[in-house]
Amino acid sequence: MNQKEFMQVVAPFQNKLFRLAKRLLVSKEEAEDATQEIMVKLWNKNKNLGAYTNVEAFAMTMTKNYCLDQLKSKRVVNSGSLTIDYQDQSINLENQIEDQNTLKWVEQCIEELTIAQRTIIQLREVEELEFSEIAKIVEMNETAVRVALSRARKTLKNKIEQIQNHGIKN
Amino acid sequence: MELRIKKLLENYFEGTSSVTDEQTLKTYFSSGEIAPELAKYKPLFSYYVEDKKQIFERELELKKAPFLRSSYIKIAAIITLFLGISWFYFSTSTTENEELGTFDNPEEAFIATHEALLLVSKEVNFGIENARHLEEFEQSRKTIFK
Repeated sequence: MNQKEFMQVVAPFQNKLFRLAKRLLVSKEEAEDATQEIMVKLWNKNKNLGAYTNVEAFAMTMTKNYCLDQLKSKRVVNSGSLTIDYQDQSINLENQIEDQNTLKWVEQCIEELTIAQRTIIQLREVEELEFSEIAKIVEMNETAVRVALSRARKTLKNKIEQIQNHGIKN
Repeated sequence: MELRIKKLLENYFEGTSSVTDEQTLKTYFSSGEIAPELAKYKPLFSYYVEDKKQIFERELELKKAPFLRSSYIKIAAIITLFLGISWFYFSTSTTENEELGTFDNPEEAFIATHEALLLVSKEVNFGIENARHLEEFEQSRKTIFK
């Protein structure tokens, strides 16, 4: 496989890798570095790549594992962003205004979930993968994925209801 | 419609909705007609739709297998080192095996040894003679410093 052919293989899913990396590492810069790193790793596996029936799922698993390692190596990566000032977020329900601010606090709510939940949320809600595909990527069984997803969705539901009802956390 | 959406939402939070159901929810929440009591969930679904628009913007750079390259260098270094050590070992061990000028006849050997020792002692005596001059320094030191 030459470089051009390789690019054609990875092109359909490289954005997915990037988005998953960003969900886990939060910083765009770090997510780009991670994506780059995964691509180089895949390129080095070049010859054996044909042996994988699903290169995309394989690449997603690699990305997930790579990001987990990155997070482990510097455990307190985004402790700063966890203190969210919910009072600032005035939500204009009457006009249904959807500004960057609203999207920002949804993102912050997701950041507060566990790493496994964030991974599953990303794969299901954004990438719209089936449970069987997610199970392979996160190396869990389908039931466990379903349970974790439901739990994450309910957590987000509660947070959103709290924010919308009071405009303050708790 | 609203009743159906409510049912879908219920399934959604239980984790029993299908991908198609969830796409229906996304479409519903991006439409202009959302039931007021459901409006609170709109940001969630809009967020997921927005998030998918992010793309990897960096120019991909595929370096030529850095691990492979470095391992070749390592192998080359090991071979060089091995050759160097073996060359050193063989060159020193051959000199050990070389003829060192031994004598078969013991008398000849005695004479040669005697000559060699004489040469050494002569040189040593020459050195000692020069050292005798030091005694003069010692004497003058004694006269000056009592």
